[in-house]
Amino acid sequence: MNLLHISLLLNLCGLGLAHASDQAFQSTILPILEDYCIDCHSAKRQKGDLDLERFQTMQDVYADVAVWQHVDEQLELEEMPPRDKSQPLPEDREALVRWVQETLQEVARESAGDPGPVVVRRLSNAEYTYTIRDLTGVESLDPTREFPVDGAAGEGFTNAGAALVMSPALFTKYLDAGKEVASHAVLLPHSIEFSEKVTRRDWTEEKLAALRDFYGKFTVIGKPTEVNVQEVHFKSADAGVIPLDRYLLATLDLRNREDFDSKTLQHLASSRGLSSKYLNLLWEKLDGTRRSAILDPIREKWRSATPDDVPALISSIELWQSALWKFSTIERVGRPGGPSTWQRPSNPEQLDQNLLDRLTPGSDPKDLTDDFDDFRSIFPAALCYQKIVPIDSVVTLLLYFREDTELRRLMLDDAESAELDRLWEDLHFVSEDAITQVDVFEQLWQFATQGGEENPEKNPLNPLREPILKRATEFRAELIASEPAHLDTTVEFAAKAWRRPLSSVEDQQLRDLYQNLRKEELPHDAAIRLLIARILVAPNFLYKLEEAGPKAEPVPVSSTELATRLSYFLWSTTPDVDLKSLAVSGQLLDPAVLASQAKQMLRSPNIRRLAIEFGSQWLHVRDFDQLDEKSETHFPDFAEVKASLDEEPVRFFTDFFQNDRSILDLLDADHAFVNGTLANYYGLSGIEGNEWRRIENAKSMGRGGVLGFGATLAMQSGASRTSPILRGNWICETLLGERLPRPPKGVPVLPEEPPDGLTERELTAKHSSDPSCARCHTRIDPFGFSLEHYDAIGRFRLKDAAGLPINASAKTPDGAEFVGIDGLRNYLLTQRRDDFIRQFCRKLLGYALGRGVLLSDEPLLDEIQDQLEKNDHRISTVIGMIVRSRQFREIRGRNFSTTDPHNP
Amino acid sequence: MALPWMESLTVWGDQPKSREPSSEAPIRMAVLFAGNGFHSREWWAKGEGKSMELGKVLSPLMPFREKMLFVQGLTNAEAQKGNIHSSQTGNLLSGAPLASGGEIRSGTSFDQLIAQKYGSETKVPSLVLGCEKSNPSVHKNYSMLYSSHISWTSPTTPTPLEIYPALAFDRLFKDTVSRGDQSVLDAVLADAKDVRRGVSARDKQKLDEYLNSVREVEQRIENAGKRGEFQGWRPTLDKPNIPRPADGIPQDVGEHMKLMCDILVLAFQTDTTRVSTLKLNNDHSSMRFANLGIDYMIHHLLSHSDNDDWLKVNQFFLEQYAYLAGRLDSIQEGERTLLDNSMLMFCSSMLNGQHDASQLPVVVLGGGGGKIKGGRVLNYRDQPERQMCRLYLSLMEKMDIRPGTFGDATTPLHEI
Repeated sequence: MNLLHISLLLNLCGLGLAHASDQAFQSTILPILEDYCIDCHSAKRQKGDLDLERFQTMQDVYADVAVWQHVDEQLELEEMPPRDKSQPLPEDREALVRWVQETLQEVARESAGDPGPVVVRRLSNAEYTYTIRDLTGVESLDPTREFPVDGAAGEGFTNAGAALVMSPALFTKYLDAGKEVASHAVLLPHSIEFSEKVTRRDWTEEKLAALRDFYGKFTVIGKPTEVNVQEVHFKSADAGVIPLDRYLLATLDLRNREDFDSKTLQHLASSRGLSSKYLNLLWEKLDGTRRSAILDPIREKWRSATPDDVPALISSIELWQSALWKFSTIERVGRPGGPSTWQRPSNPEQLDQNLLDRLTPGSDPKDLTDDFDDFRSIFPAALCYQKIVPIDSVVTLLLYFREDTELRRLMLDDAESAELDRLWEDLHFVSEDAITQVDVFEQLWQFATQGGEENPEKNPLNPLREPILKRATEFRAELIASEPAHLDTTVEFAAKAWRRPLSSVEDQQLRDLYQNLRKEELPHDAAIRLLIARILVAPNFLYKLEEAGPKAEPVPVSSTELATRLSYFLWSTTPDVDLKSLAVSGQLLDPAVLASQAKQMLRSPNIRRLAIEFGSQWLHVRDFDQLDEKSETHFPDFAEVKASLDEEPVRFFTDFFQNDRSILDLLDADHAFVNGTLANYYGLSGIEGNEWRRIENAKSMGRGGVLGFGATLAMQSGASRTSPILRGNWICETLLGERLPRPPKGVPVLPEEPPDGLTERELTAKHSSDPSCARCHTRIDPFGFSLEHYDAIGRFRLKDAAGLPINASAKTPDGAEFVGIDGLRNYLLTQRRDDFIRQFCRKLLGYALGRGVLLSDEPLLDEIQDQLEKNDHRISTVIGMIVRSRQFREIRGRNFSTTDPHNP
Repeated sequence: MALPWMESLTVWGDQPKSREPSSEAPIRMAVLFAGNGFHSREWWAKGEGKSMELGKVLSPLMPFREKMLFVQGLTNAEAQKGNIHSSQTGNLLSGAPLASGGEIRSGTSFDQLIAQKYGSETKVPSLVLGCEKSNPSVHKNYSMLYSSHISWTSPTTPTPLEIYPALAFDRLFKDTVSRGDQSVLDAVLADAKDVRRGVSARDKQKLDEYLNSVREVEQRIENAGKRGEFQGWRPTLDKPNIPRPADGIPQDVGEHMKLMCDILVLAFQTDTTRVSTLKLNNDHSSMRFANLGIDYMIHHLLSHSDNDDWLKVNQFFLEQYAYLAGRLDSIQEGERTLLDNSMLMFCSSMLNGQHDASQLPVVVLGGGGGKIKGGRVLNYRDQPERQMCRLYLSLMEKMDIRPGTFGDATTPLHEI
């Protein structure tokens, strides 16, 4: 981490500092440096590339603070002076350490809030994927599946600009990915939508399914009816009929109420998924008083009916329905001489005895026309032709058949009717059936001629030709007429993809490109798709671009840029509608609004992405399920649990963020999330199935919090045996943020299997007893030892791989002694609580900013830690303070420059 | 389809000819890398020519002893300064200082320098391959990106590796030109120039990665449209003679590596590119070798065991190298074989599993177009000027590239 840039800030902030402390530096510190450091780190020798001799005044020190951070680290680790060189007196060492730290703190205070060097960030593979999914609404898209894995930078996350590179090969992949996404675009009459599928045939099926779903909301499939196709008889259930049972039951409920108004009825209908329009009509009909030979007996029964009587009521109604209605072969509908509709009233010439018995006694069967109509008006046999694609002929002229007038009349309100029309319009548009119809017609016409018809002019299909050709011509015109809408939608898509309104120039350029592509003889459809691909490979999409101020000083980023920062921080995706509107109105620039929006976003299911991108990545278990690091010989079944192990931390962190839990819960949680597979793996009884659930008392079962994740325990192990070193190192570096000295060159060799009689622990201890190793290993290993009750794939065990009993006791260099995961947890929560909290906040800040945490961020971390103490350590406190911070809301000036040769 | 090597030279007269067509086959250069070093006692060679003796790790190279340089004692000073693993790898081919603390900065690697010089003469400037996914984390204060990238397009741009055989094949041979692409590229180039204005120097650098990438893709489309007369030397193969590999990554590590070698052979034989790096695995690698019956330990931890299985795994890596050399040696290009016209360097980030980078393991196979005399062991261990970068100066010199200084070196190794 190089922080020379601070020199410039200091220049801006005033040089007052330097003079005040110069004297102390020269009288106290320089002599110590002379005595113990300058021998090696002189201007001449520069051992380890370090020249301390050049620091003669405080001004020199302020100009190159990074060196002193490094010195601070070396002193803290007791790496310097080297053991074999003369050591400073305790008071000298203390004086030097104090001075270095005070100086660093002073600089940190002076430069606090610096937005820092954030190089423009490309979307990471994960961000790109989430963004594409959210823009298109298609969850199954996985455009980066064969992209190179992103590198990590900054605090160890893949969202830092430095590691997000571009190359010709990668650009080609983006272009291909953009085209692939565009291939999912479905052109509709007035807009564009995206589908999971990429062929017209599949899109047509989707539209058909959407229509059938719509019908299905109001109807049930009727009983199959006999169909006769060229002497082949079969039954086809193609009518959508009234779900009489549900409506009748509802009317019984209404009947039992003392009095009710239209609101009651509406409420009842909507709570049961019924059409209030039809329920109302039915109620009026059954409760009505118009005399009817047919309805009166039914009413009679209805008035005293209980739910048990409903089936009988239905049979009565159905008897009349089948008597009073008839259906035609779809193929004949609309043909010359054919019926005009599929469902038609039949006039029962002769009622059979069964029906006569049901008429009101005394009524004259000869004059029932009005009663028949009255019955039909409320009880059509079919509400719609649910099948849509007719199959009742060998060769079908009609591709799609629509008959839903009864449904509209009886059940749909205006909005629903409009929706239905739109769905039909979409189906015709997407399927292009008007055009296909021409071919179908010609084939069918030939077919009809083959029947020995000498004279084509007498072909019975002739009268149909003209309307079909006309319809095709009209449709082609509609296609052309829809083109501007597609272009408009695509341009709107660009604004969404680019996360800001387009300038008029950009708007025009996109339209010009479309025109150029058309001139290159690309069809409309292809040109629109390529335009979508172009939008998705633009730097405006691939990079989170931000405009820096013209000078050196930091300036606040714009409200749209801030929305992008916030959205990618918490959701790894493009801002949603709410956030965008706060950005457009400028309200987002108010830190209070920003923080409250952030708090709201924490509750969203989208926070799962933060759980993965931050939580899992911090713990080094992101994409754990894709790793292949365990021995199949030792653990043949491990592959089956990998996905569940991978999911556990994600569930845990999602819950943590969504429910605003305490940071201490990360260690101290007494709950865990498991599914059947994982529970079985962990040896917990009574939990089965794929469903994930929260379990309590996890600690008593050896789980709870990040220490108990099977994924991390397995990750920090070898392929076949545990590694207390890896686990211990993970706790030191990942959970506590300790810096460890570099391992010595020439580390001694570890045998792969412990020699006979030695536990894995003893093997490690043997290795670590080497004096050159011991310094670090006394810090690392105890943590690992305390987790020895978990095997190399994270299962609880009482004996190690060699069958020897586990010793999970640990003694740390600070004198603490504890046993097992509970002891470790307790130690971390008490002795090391502040270190853990600091580390968590540091990592989250680094993730939020997309860069390494700097000296100038330390005051913010101090402040966050203070506030956490006062706020139950709630995660929302940290998130709120991060987003309110200057570093989150500002950007360094364009002409910010540093004197650092390594960090231009 | 592959473009014969002369084609990318301008033949329509819209640009001045850069050089006379050569009647000789060009020199090709490849670097193969294996992480974590080798067995501590079995990486050695002594003697000369046919009678050269080899340590067990190197035994797969026995048939190539006369075309082989065993180079000992070279070191990369910058790689010894940082921590271990990642900081010993990210600058292996550049000798540049590495930025720590989550920053990413190394130096342009010498293979990419070669690509800059010859890139415009072939369809693909360079082929950067790998057999193991990159590790997305920061380890011991250094990004693990350093562990997985030896090839650097610029000091801030580690060249992304292709690990999918099918996509590597596509990169070489897939005709990327489809109607309208050119207009799209023009449009985004204009975008990039637009956004480049008014950003900081660092951001400019980042956006230049994008700009240059688009330009190169555009260049390739332009070149693909050109057809010229063939003059001088022509490659012995003008389109791939193997089918496009299946999608995905082969389950078997050996199969994966072999496929990547086949693609590299194809790239050189068709003269689709002249420079390539193939990272057989990462430093700090997590590869396991079920194919060798050694799946109880990942590569990195195995390196610390230094046992017989480690030796077996080392040999397996050298077998890949030998396979590649054998394939190249079976292809005649006039009087010489393709191996004779190539320089295949094999290297690692450390000598053995104990992180010892005080001297690096290096083998060079191939004749560099008749410019390198094989069958020799060169030992620089006791020489004052033993920079690894001197070797790179030597290799580049064979390809007529003389940058003067490179990394921490100012003169080539005269013996090479």
